[in-house]
Amino acid sequence: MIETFYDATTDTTIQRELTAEEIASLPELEQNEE
Amino acid sequence: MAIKTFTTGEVLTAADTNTYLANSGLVYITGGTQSGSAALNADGVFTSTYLNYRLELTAVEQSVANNAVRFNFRSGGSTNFNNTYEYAYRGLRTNGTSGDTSAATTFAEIGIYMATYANTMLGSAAIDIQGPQAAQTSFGLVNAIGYEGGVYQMRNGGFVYNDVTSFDGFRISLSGSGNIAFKWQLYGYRKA
Repeated sequence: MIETFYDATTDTTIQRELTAEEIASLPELEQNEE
Repeated sequence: MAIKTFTTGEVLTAADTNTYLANSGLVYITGGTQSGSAALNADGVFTSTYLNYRLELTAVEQSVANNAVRFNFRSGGSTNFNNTYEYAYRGLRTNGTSGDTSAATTFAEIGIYMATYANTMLGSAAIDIQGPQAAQTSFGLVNAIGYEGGVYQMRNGGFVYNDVTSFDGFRISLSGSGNIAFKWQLYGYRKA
């Protein structure tokens, strides 16, 4: 899963794969929730 | 910033302009264009320079239908998914039907729900974020527009992070799978 990360201290934007730890922390996705 | 009253015939100097005009009101911090990936994670954008912020999300487009847009705070490069967010919105569609939504959960919705996807169906949100970096409860006051039931939907309301936590960034993501594209600008409310 690729996401965008913006760092204000260096004013840089990168796109990278989430780490396993970051993926594990994500809440469950809920399509059609409304 | 001190208040200065100019009198008739007084000359406005460069210093006056820099101090009293250029530094007044909302001060642009940063922004960009998000596209092609599932979420934006912005770090280091909330500092002690400002207490309150304005986040503008415009031309919000999704690659998959039936997604709501979510907001989370971030700190030290990690997203806060604590079960401490509460949000509530009154919704009114342009055909007169209502579309309220609310929850207490691990994220805050920001009022944008897109029931279809096309580059002509765009959402929008203006969020006043109060006290994210300060050691106080943080609030978001939201006006947003989405697209649901074949018509545009206006939503007004807000969210609260119901705990005292200092944050330096935020995350914008979707409730489901798919990509999201938008333009974003973050401003700080000048303190004095």
